[in-house]
Amino acid sequence: MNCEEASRFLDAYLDRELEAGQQFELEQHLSGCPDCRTWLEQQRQFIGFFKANAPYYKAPSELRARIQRRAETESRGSKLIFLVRQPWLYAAALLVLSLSLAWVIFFPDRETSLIVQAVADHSRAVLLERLYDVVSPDPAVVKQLLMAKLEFAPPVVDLPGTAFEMQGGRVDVIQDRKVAALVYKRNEDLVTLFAWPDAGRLLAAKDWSISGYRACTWNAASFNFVAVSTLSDHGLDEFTDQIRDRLK
Amino acid sequence: MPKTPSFEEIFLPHLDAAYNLARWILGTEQDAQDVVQEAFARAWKGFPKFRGENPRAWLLTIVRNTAYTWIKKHAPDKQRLVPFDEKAFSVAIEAAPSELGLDRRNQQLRQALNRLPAEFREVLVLFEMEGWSYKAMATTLEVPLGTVMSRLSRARRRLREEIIQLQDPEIEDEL
Repeated sequence: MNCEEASRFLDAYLDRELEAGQQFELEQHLSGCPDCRTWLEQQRQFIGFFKANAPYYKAPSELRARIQRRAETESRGSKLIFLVRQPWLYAAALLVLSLSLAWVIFFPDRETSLIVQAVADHSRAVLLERLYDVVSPDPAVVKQLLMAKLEFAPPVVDLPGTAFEMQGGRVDVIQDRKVAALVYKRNEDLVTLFAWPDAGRLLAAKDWSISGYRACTWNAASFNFVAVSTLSDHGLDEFTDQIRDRLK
Repeated sequence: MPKTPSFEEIFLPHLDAAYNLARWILGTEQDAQDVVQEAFARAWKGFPKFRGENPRAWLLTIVRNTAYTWIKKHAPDKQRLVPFDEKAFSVAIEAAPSELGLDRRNQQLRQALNRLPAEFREVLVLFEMEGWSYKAMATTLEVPLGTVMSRLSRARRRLREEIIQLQDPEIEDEL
């Protein structure tokens, strides 16, 4: 490393933001370069001077008062809206729940009730706008966050070059177990892809139509998958084909 | 069931930080007040979707975005990044005015800060005052990590250079 390269890293070195490799190389250079060491010392002093003297501007009291007043008015307003809005949300959620229950009662086999739950989870998440624990188009980010909340590493893929955009994901519950729920969007249509490992009971490839939703099940690499959406059969097929392709 | 904290309870404690950031980016009190008020209105609108664990960072991100929208509309030249001047690297700190009074030094620091582009002041306040990591800044500023590193480094060098320039005439006066 020469002085010019070193100069690019000196600030990050003081800030303790260098990677171990870079830090090692820089320290090697510093040990043989009094000029850079002097510069580093001066910069350290300057940062100290700056930290001690840089102005911290407190919010003027009139601004604080204005924002407080506004927050109070807004929260009064929003409580009213909240009251008006709330019964409908409950009614909608209740409707979904009773529809699901009706299905479970009429079709008590385990597989059906599992799909019904997946549909109810999807619908409740959409209605209550509780779709995400993590919002990110980056599969690595979504995977990492979901892993922290699950006992397994969910397969997370995005679909670049298609009309489906990965929006993020959440942890949901199907038959008393935590599953990964990934959310994709095509125009106005949302798709939830549920995934969980189950070596003992793998779902067969099958299409479903429940309470106005389409669902599609399959398994791959000891994981069960359920995709739920308001998309047409054709649209959902397109989605599952893409996902299965990428999960190979 | 514990009461969910209200918008005020979550965000008002960070009003000073919000104002400080806006004041640094924009440079004047009136602009900073306008932007912070606007940012709180935006935060209010976005509040139903807020489930982050770090309300301060969430609010500050809104403040900086609002500030840049404001700059684009009212003073597009404020944001301009000034190309790195290699001279800054060779600037020596010996000229640091230990003999000058503290007031004078503070005044010089403020004057020098005012001459920096907003983007330089922004990384300075986020790193030195708010204690953000390079990575956190990269995420919020939507730039690569390397850009954060060079921007902060250039910001400090520019600032040192500006301070020296402010001091030069005085040194001549004294001679």
